[in-house]
Amino acid sequence: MISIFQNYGGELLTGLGQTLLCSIIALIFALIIGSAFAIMETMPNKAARIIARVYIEVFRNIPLLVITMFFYVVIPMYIVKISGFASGTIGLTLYSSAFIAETVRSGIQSVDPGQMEGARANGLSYWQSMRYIILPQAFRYVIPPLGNQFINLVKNSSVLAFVAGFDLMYQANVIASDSLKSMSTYLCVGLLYLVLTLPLSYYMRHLEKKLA
Amino acid sequence: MLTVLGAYSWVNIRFLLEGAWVTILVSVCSIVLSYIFGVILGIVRYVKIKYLSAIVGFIIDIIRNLPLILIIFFTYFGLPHLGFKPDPIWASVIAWRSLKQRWLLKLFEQESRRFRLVKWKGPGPMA
Repeated sequence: MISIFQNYGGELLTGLGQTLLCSIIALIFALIIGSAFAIMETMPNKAARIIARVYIEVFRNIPLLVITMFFYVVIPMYIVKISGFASGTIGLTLYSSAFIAETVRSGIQSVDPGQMEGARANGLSYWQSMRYIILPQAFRYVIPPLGNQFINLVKNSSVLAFVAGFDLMYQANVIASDSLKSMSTYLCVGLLYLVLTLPLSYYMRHLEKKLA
Repeated sequence: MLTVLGAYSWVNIRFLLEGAWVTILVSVCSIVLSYIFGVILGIVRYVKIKYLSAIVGFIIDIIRNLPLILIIFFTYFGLPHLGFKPDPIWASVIAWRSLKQRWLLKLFEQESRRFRLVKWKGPGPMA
């Protein structure tokens, strides 16, 4: 196991960096897209609700690998050439955004409807009351489940291995086939994944206890 | 659009259906096994046996925070080095099982905690 770290340190470090980069990009965009669709889903406008519902159900119920493969194979064939890393990140973003939208929606709906009524009665517009009254409370409710989504996102970023995204899992396959020590390679890579996810997991548990 | 329709020719449909069958098989096996093991491990963690519960909790945390693909690859490529060689479907079932049971376990833990709360706090206001 130590020899894997010594001989392939560079590859593992690149993989770790790529995984981290992809996760952070996907996290930011998924949070933005997810929140947008969550707000759309709770809007009084019926058309907006249906669009959001369809989006969420589609991306929530298609496997991540299928979405990513679509962006890796089909999009470059017909529309525009994108790298494996980009297609993986796009797929991951869309997939996670559906889950984040569901999480944030549950947060918005758990805010007492009296809050919205009170805000409207005090003369705030719909968007103002959403921005200043509802969303701050909603996001406080959903911090623990959002944290779980982030951990899942980091884990799901291993899908990049299938589209040549050069992430940790991809490097693991390369190293395993190069060194023929698959057992210790996967153990090493598992350790590196734990370095990313375990602190996040424990921090979320701590936060959950503090908020509850 | 024609290419999409062409994909649904009889030969392809047969392959797709075979794939769907494997998907269903793996899902059902994993759900059943993960449920059984998840409940057992959940009980072990919940009743707080002195060292066992802590060890089980630690293992659960480890596996819960690893990507599924890594676990599958580990079972398929790693375990043969220990002299245990599962075929692809069973490798994925084993991997799925070990992943899924953590989620179920979490769920079970939460449920049992809620149950305890209800059981002990419930009679208070009612009595």
